[in-house]
Amino acid sequence: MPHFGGGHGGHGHGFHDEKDLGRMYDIKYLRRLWRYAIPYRKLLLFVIVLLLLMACIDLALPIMQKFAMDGAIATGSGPEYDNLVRTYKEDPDSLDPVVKERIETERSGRLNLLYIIAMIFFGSIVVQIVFRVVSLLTLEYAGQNIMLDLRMHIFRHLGKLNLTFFDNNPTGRLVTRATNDVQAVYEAFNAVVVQSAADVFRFIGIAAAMLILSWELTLVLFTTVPVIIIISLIFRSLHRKAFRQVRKTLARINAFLAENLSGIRVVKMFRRENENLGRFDGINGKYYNANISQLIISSVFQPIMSLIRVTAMGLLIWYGGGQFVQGKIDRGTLIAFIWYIEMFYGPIIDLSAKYNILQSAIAAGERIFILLDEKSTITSPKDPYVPATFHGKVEFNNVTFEYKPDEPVLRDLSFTIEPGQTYAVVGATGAGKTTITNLVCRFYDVQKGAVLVDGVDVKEWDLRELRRRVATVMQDVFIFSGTITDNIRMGEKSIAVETVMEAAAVTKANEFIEQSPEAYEQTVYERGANFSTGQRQLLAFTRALAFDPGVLVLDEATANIDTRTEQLIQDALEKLTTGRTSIIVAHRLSTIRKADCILVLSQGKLVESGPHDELLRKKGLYYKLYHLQFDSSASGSSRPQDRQP
Amino acid sequence: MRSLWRAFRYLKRHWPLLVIGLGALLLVDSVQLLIPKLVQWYFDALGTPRFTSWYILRTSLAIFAISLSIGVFRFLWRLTFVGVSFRVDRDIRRDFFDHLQKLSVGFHARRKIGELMALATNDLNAVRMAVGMGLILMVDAIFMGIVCAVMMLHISWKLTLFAALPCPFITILVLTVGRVLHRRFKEQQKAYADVTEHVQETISGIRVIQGYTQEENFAEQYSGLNRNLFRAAIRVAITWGMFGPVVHCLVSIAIGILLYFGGKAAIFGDISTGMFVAFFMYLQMIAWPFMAVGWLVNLFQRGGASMLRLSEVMDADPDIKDAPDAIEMESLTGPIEIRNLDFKYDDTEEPVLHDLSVTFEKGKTTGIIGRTGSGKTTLIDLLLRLHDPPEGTVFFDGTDVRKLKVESLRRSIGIVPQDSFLFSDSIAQNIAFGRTDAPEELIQHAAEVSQLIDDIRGFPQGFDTLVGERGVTLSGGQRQRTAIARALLLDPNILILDDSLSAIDVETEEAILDKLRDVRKGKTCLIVSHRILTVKDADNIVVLECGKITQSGTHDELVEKEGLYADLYRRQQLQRELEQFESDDAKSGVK
Repeated sequence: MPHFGGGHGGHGHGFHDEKDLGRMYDIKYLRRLWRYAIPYRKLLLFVIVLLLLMACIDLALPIMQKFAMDGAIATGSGPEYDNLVRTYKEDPDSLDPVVKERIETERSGRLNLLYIIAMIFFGSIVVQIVFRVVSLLTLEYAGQNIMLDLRMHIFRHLGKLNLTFFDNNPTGRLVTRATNDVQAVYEAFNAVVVQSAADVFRFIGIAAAMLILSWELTLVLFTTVPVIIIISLIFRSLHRKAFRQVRKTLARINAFLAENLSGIRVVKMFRRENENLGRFDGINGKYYNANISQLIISSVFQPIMSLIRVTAMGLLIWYGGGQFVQGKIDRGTLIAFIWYIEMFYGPIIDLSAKYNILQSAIAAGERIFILLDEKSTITSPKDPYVPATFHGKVEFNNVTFEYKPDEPVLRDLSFTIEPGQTYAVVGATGAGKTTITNLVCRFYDVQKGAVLVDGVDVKEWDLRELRRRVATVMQDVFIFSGTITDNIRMGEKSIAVETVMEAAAVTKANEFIEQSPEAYEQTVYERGANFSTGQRQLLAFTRALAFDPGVLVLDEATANIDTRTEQLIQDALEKLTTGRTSIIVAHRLSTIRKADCILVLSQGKLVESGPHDELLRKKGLYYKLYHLQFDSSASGSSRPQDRQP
Repeated sequence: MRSLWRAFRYLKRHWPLLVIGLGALLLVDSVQLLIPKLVQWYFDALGTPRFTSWYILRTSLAIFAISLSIGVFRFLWRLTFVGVSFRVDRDIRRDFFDHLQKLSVGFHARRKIGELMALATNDLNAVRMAVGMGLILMVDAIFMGIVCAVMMLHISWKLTLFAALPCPFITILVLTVGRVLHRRFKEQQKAYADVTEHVQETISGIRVIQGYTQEENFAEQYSGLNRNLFRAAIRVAITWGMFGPVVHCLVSIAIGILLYFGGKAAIFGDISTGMFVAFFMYLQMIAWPFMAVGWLVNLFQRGGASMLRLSEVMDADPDIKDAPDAIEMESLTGPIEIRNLDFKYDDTEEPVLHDLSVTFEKGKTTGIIGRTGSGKTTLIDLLLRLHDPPEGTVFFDGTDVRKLKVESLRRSIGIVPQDSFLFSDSIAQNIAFGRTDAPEELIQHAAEVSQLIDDIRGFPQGFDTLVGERGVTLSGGQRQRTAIARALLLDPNILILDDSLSAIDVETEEAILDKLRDVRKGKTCLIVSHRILTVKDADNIVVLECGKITQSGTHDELVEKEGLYADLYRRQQLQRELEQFESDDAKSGVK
């Protein structure tokens, strides 16, 4: 199984450490990223066309400047003409009237040309600005859409993954993938992918224009291009490595934050603030180091690139000057080349810089795709079983189950619960009771044997249909932020507010709900922080009831509720369990006494089963467990040590 | 914008680096300005006798030398400026986390973790960009602007005036658009935080979501939040997307005007052709500072908006802190005295505790019994100052808890909280949570007393077993026992068990209570529970009802009195009798 991140048993590796990634693929990940862009390809094409048009204007501007130079400003100029003009300016009368007139017509002609060029210049600038605004907004629109799709894809994928995956990956890391990493992909996308097309075009255009003007000079400049390519390739892997480290350390920061903020109460109770700050400094420092390595690499890269550009300028001045002296090129060409040189190197250097920014996107994309490649094995089969009617028969057939290889939690477990029956599961801690509840609604798949609901293997069931019918109240009550109503119906719109209230009335949760200032619309903080543990459990209970399941699985859910509340709940439970198959895990034997059958587990094996009375008569493990509870609680005054043999 | 000052203050401690960077940046800029001058001379020399091959070589060598120094100094300033910005990023994140840890539990209950994560990464990144890139752009723009202007003035003051044409417009634009941009950036960052929050909460509650097949509903909610973010981002893009091009447009107009008038000046011989070319190069250089203004507005507004959001947290008052004259106590032992304590949470109207008075004697064990929501956990929170009790209500060793150093208070108390939160670390490290340097024997001993040792021995990796986030890979009972071991390891003078035996089976609970009997000798001990069994051995038992103490006494005394305790006892007794009856029935059946 491809493992996303560290997980258990990593020797010398903590839970928060991620594996390093191996080889670097560009094309593979770029192609996958491109898939998200396909729905917006028309928009992107439109942007590219606009960018190309803008590039055309960019190209035209220096040509116009060259026209202005050649045709208006510097035609036939040179020291001779400059002297003439200077003389005209300083002392016009000293000049021959013919020369004077010639100068004046010449001047007005040139001025007209200049005027026209300036107007064209204005016009093209206006067009360019309009294009720029339109392309920028279109690009942003497409980019934000792509990012939205990618985030939704990741989110939906996360929702489907096996619970084992969540056991092995810290929340903060997954949050980083779904948010920060997507952001990194987007930033690169925006800066790179689309604009590169324009860069390529600009480069070709400029190169063509320069070749026409003087192929010799252009070829001289071209000698620098291979150098740029080689340097870019060398820096590519350096950049990627650095960016990978940045992504990895950022995920660690988030993982650390997520965990220590969730446990802030315990942190304070145990005065761990200083210790934690020290650890945070360590992680934060690693993130800083990763950023600095990345910075050093790009700081070396960029000056090298501009060095090459300015070197080319020197090359031009030297070689072009020589050509001019030899009369091979004219003054205007040389000037145009000086203009062009910026434009020639602009796209090349941009492209190489973008190629390296792209490494940041790929480094983030890699991690996202590894997450997306994480296969969910717990899914509905191709031709899923969808029942017409539901009875609620639950069977375990020789079930063997392990969370970690070679550490079986359940061994060859078999039992059958007829529809409407209530079964209780008892046993010492670690006997595998909770695991049973995890298997009925197929949170995990068994290694051997089968779990059947209504005679059909849960693996054959349509997963949604199965889980709709099996409600599980877990050991850890999880309460979401939102309102009380939101928490009870969990966004399931088919559950009416009235149903919520009815359910709350049955579990008696309505008592504290109605005491809250805003009753059912009362705001609930993250993890239900503004309610007591007992109240949270009542809420979870109400939630299960509101979903009106055919099979109810209760895992020690009554443990934190006081006697009176527990009494209320037991009344409710009785109502709840009638006509419903129920599996109840509890340590308090008194709460499960009324079960139709009791399963006694020991180390993952079923050692006894049968109704309460029958089991007592057997004088087996249940008998012992029962009397332990019974003796210590019935003889109110006797102290436990009195019972020590 | 003003909020950014706070970020800039972090620069102070890195001033030597900044000075180096500044020097390098100014050097690069100055040297860059030489190139147009060289080109000007070059063109003016073109076609004159001065234009020799030696002259050509000299000029190109000069340009090469210039470029080399530019390369070196550019590397230097990038490294220092951007490097410093990463330092600021690191320092702010550290202070942010430090402050978060100081904020009270009440604050954390209201703030979502996902939002705080977004602040520590996404928002902080915007601040870093403003500090690093913003600073570079600012220095660069100001310097280049001034120098270019001087150089241009040198060539022609008339033309320079034309070049300055866009300045007032850009200023107006910056002021008006900046404000809008700031607001929209803030919306965008908030929307981003909402998205982060939702992912964070969904992943935390994935079991429940999958269990109730609500994946699609949560995805829909997520989609809604994403759409908000989308809209916010587009709104920013519209404002910013207009701003950049408009500045560009203004600058281009100025260039166009200059092309005409500059060309005219050259035609009329007011300036030489070479001067015109150089002027134009400077003009293109000065276009950059104008553009930079646009970027600066973007960076500063975004960074400012984010810093404001960060400041909301960093300025939040850690309402629970040491009083100026707080007393340091080596160790507290009890008694704990509570006098007429009234307490209500800020966001509720009903008081949770009402006129509560009780004394927990030194070295004695007190049981606290009460129903769900009766205020048991609140009372414990107040003892630990997780929430602050009013002054003059809670006294440890005769000193008002508000006058004690929080550190010395919490140091003396070992607590097993109701929610046995564990960290994704090894079991050993979880037990040694409050004392990371604890020797192995102590960890082992704590695990023995809490009846955890057998479980640990059963794990292939023993004490080094990783427990997963919140301890998911352990069973509920194992988690509670780890939490008990964690408290016992500290060997505190005051031990509090807050309903912390609930997930543990009776057999183990008995064993733990038995072992605790030795441990708690001489310790002031509070055992909170709703079950008579757990507290009945206590030296004194108090009954908490609706935030009031309604009864107190020993088990035997309370059983005799009319009230909740006797009521609970009878109820639990009745249940037991029923069980006994059935059991006897069963036993006689066997016979």
